[in-house]
Amino acid sequence: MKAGRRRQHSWFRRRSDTFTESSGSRRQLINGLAPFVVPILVIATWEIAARLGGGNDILLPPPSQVFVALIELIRTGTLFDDITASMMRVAAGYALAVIVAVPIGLVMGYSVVFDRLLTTTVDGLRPIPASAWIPISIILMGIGDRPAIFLVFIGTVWSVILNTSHGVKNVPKHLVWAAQTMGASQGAIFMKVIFPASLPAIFTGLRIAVGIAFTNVIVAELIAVRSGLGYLITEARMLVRTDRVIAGMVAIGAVGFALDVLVRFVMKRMLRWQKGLVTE
Amino acid sequence: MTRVKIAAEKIVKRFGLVGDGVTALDGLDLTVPEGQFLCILGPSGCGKSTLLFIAAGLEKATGGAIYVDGKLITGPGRERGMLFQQFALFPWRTARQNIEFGLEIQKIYREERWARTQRWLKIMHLEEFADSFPHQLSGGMQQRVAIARLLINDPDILLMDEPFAALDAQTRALLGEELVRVWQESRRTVLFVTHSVDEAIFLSDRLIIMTKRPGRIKADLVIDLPRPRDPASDDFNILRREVTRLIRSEVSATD
Repeated sequence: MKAGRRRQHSWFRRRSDTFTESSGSRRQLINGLAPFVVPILVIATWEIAARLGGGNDILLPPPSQVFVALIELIRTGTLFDDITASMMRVAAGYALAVIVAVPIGLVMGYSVVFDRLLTTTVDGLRPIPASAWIPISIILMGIGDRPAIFLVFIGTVWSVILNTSHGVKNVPKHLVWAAQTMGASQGAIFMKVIFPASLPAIFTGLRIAVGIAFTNVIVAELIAVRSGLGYLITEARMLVRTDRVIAGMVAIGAVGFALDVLVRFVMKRMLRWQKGLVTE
Repeated sequence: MTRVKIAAEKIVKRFGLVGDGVTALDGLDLTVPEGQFLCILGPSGCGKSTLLFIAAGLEKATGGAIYVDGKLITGPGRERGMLFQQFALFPWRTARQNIEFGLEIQKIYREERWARTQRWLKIMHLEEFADSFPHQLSGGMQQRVAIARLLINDPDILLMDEPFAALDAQTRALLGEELVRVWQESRRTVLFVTHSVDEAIFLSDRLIIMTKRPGRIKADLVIDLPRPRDPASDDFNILRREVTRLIRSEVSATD
């Protein structure tokens, strides 16, 4: 997965090169267009196959029909409402996870006693996939926002805890020593050295968590809620509107992508002193 | 004779388990008078850095004690400032913010902090780079920032752990000269650990050569060449030959 990301990164870089350097080189044009070749081929093949296949729109509607369905979702405002509903849940669950997990991670990283106290609990609960929490959360919280928010929370809390405590444990010893020889108290060392030095690791956790949060809200909405992007596609399936199912998937992909771009942008901004260290 | 600033008594440092571990220092005794520039020279792994960390209060000795002004050292303190081989700058702080760290810790007001930081930026020729982050600076510049960050706190004792080892020869010599210049103005007690014979002779009033592990003092030399010193002079050469011979015999010694 890491390798995949890195490759994607170099694609971007190469494409931007074609814009900055003087145009005219054919090779650069090909490089610039290459990322779009496969999607265009897939969509074209799909369109032709769907039309030649005798028009079974229920099983596989052509992309043109999916596009129409997508426009309809946008025009009626349904899509916007569902995106809003999903994002509110992501925001709530994510914020809750950050508020809970960052302090726990800091404490676990800083204090050996707390680390030993909490590590079995964290390691014991962490392997349970968020989807396995769905039945119990419906039993306890019913259908609605709460189980969805809970699912986002439970999916994201571990990666933030672990990355934070990892960051604290790996603060270079010399930085702490330097502060100590300048007379810094324990509290000052924590606030002025350990916390800022852990920020790159904390942000790594926060970034991973955004992806998990989005995945989990969709999963929750498939089952436990009656609104949002996940519900949009379940409902469309029940109405046998395959075009709308696929349109919903396209929307989910687009929102997820936008979220990732946003997070990467924010992180880059906040950790400029880190040079190129937080690009992964 | 000036008064004793640092007294180390029978310092023992062992790493790892008893019987299975490594003895870095084995009963080292050392007294340093106030205002002395003492260089400690020795083969790798002889425990010279360890001695410095114990004096700083950053590591605990397995046995023995270190006294500063007659008081037992139990932990780190602002009066014993330290310079690290890895510079140990805070990467999220600009040069200016790094330098004023100690003043922040002392809760000194913003205006005074600014003025004092400005002064040290000037002394260390860093004014242009005040707002640069460490990764934007060369190694030499980074160590200048670290020196300013150390000296702004006006520590009584300067503990320096191979501070110029990561720099090129030119920068190293230049920073050495600047360090002597600054030191001559304030006459702090300095413990300077180094691998370089030339650096040791150039800087020190007194030069200690340590044995290889477990570290003890092999030779204790007074360097009374007039300052500023010329590494190309005959006197410097005689000392260089003598010190090199002592180090060689230690590195090649077998037991």
